[in-house]
Amino acid sequence: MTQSDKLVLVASGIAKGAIVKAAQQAGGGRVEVLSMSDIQAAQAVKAGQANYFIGSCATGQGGALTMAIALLGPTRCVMLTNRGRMMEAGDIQERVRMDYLAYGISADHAPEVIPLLVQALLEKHQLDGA
Amino acid sequence: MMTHSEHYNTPFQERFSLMIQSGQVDLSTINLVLEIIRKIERDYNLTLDEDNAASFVSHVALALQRLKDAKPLKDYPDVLLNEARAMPSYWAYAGEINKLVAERLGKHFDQGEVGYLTIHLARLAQGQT
Repeated sequence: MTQSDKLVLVASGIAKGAIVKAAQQAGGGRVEVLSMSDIQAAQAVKAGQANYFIGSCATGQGGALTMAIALLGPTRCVMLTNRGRMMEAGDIQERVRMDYLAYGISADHAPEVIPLLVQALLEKHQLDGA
Repeated sequence: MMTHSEHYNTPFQERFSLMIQSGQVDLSTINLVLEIIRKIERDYNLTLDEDNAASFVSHVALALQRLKDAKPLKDYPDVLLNEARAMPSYWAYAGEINKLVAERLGKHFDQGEVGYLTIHLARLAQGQT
């Protein structure tokens, strides 16, 4: 089960390796990042074994979140980037303050967007050390 | 209803079932996805499965459903078509798939969707899982 002093993130999709690397670098010991298929990842969040789902696909047109939408519901899922276009940092922080459990990205944006996302999640859970 | 579908015999059975059950796509969309999968497997001598093509089949299913529901993407970034056209063989093959889609649905993808399809195809054919 999840721990109060650490966020458990599950990475899935074609950029899951890049997501794991970027999230671990950004979150250090305050995050545990696991790599799974999108079905397993969504099931882990649904079962309370992970806090957040981070999915990826080649284009950012929905494939990153299909299984999260199926298992967690569409209102808990949001895309942060698509091919060639990424939300501003402020918009990402705003989405994180909402009730989303699953975030989707276009694979090529992982190195840029994941640090922003992880930092915002740590702030939300008051794990940012501030 | 799903008992008559071919998708019970594919590696994507669970994926397709979840997509149908959650209302993201309908059964006839999945059957067309399966036809596209078979075409790609034949033409590229590939076997598509959850390890190499989960993202691709999800994308194609959603794109087909958007087309059927007449809910096209509002816009797409300028870099998309430039990037897709820079891969002429995959761009042309995406056009072949679009022709098949038009034969089955009576309407075809717009250029943006063909661009996204091109990028997915290139990743798939180049073994970037």
